[in-house]
Amino acid sequence: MKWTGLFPALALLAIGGGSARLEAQFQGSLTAGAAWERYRGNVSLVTVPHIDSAESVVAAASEWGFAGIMNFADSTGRGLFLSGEGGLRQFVAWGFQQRNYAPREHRFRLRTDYREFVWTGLLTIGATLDVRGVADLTPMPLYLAPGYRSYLVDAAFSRPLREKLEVDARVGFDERDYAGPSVLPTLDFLDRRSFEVQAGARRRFQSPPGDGDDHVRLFAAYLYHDYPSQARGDHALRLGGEWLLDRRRSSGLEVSVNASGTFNRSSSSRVEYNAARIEARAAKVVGSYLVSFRALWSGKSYVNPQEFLVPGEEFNNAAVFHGQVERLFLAEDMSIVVGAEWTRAETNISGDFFRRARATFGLQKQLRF
Amino acid sequence: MEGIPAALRRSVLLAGHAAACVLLTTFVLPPDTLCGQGTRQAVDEAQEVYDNARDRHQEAFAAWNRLELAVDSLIEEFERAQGAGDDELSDRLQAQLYERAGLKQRTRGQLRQLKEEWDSAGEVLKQRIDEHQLSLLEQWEETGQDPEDELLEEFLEVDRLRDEVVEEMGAPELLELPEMLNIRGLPEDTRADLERKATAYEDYAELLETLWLSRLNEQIDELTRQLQIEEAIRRNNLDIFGGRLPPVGQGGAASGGGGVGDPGPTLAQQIEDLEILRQTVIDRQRLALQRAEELRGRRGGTP
Repeated sequence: MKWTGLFPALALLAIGGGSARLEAQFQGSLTAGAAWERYRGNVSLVTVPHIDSAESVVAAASEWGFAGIMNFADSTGRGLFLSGEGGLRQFVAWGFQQRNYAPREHRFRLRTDYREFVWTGLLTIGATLDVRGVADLTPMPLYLAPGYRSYLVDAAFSRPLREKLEVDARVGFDERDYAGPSVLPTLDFLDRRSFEVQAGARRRFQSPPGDGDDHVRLFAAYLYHDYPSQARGDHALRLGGEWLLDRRRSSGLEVSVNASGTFNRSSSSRVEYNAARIEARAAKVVGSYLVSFRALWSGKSYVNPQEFLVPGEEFNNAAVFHGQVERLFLAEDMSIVVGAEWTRAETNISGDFFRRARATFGLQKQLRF
Repeated sequence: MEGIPAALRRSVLLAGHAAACVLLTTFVLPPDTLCGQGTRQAVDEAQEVYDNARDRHQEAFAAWNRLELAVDSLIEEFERAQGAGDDELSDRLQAQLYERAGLKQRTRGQLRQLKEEWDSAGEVLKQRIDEHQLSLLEQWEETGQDPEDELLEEFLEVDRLRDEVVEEMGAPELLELPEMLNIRGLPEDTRADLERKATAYEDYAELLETLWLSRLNEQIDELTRQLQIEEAIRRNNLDIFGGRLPPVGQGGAASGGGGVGDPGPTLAQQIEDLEILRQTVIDRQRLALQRAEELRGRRGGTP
């Protein structure tokens, strides 16, 4: 927990640095829901040593979550933003050969951003604490990401170059520590430290930005990942872009497309690959309903022939499709959500796969003060 | 715009526009949002509407300034008459002041309406210019002509027009709340005087209701609705439980980041500002009605 001292430090930096009056606002939501999930597949993961011969299992889950953002801002534009989200999910699973599992996962993430306008631009200094835990970890095919603690510190600066054109730069360092040896020693293979430096340019289509945030952003980043338990260091170059269509300028339709390509080179020739990822999101307000879609495809191609699965790199490609309908504006700031999701991932070594289908129902309550 | 390489500029704009058109067509949007045909004629028509709206506002603004000068002059005369003990002139000037105050409030409402029309016309004009510029870029792309031709001239001309519009419209004009009346009942006031003063306070309270409170309530309701939508979209974009994607590795799994210049929850700030303003209006309204009641309670004075 050595990085948690950053949060009060950033708060003091924001509050103690001047006499301008701070105004605090909070907005957030609480979620309670239920899910039905069906898993199929025969792939093995290096970090999940339990093996069960079942190729298809089903699970029901109750889900509880919260998300919120608190904003302390003064009249000069200087501000401190605290955001957090977290949840608890309790499963009951059927279909395993060895025994019935009842896994539980919890996660919370806390983010602090301090922002100030300096040198005709916006400086942001941030820190993130991310904690995830899993009890009664299941064998495949019911994949649950393992528990970890993660710390991130980053700083970013963006400034307008001319009307509607901005440039930005960002540096960040993060460390992720997966659950310790007493729980599952193989998880230590996933421990990593990362450094990233990124530069980008954003072309807006509206002026001033408050009228809508339609933009195209292109970026380039260098990343270094150190995996101490694998004695491996990766250097990566990532190029990508984002296009956003703001709902304020398009009759309530919001669309974003993120695409990036990564060239990963490593001290271990087994994990040298070129990868690509594209994610599209769309949300449209239709009367009192918010209809949302999300599609994601991620894939990689190894430079050298692969004979073994690498921890945390088991799949060559994955695709996710998600859709949901949310009934907004019910009494007491409540809403009802119904959704469905389909995920498939494959590995090229043996042709093994993983597939998950999921249906959800939830109630959400918005909070603001 | 001139500093950006033309090829890059064209590619980015065309890619964004093409993707927008595909998606918008898919979701069946009104035709005049982003995929409308951006012609010079459309720009000219929008400019004519904009010019008329701007001129009407400027005329009304000039009338408002003249009225303010007239009221200031009346106040000075009134103070001189009171100082000289000329009650007859004071009463006459006071009646004129009431009349001018009412006219001033009505003019303020008209001015606000005209400013909204001007802003709206400006937004339409800017959108038409954007569409026309995209259309010109498409023509370049199709014809493959050197940018140093009449298309570029046309592009730069409407770009300059856009700059002029942005400069003319400036920051949104915020009309101040009408000042709180400061009329007091005097010992020598007749019942008619007290009635007139009480009515002035009631008129002021009604003005706050019709011109400010109803509009503020509408704005707060709409912003609250937008905030709910924004919060729902933000929540949808969060992965609260994390780790739902099977392990594909760092290269394929991480996105490009972004949000470097994200200004934060501005809708919440706007709502809070409007709620503070609404409370100020309600307080003034309550005080005005209280003073009207007090004045009416003193009508047992000189008939």
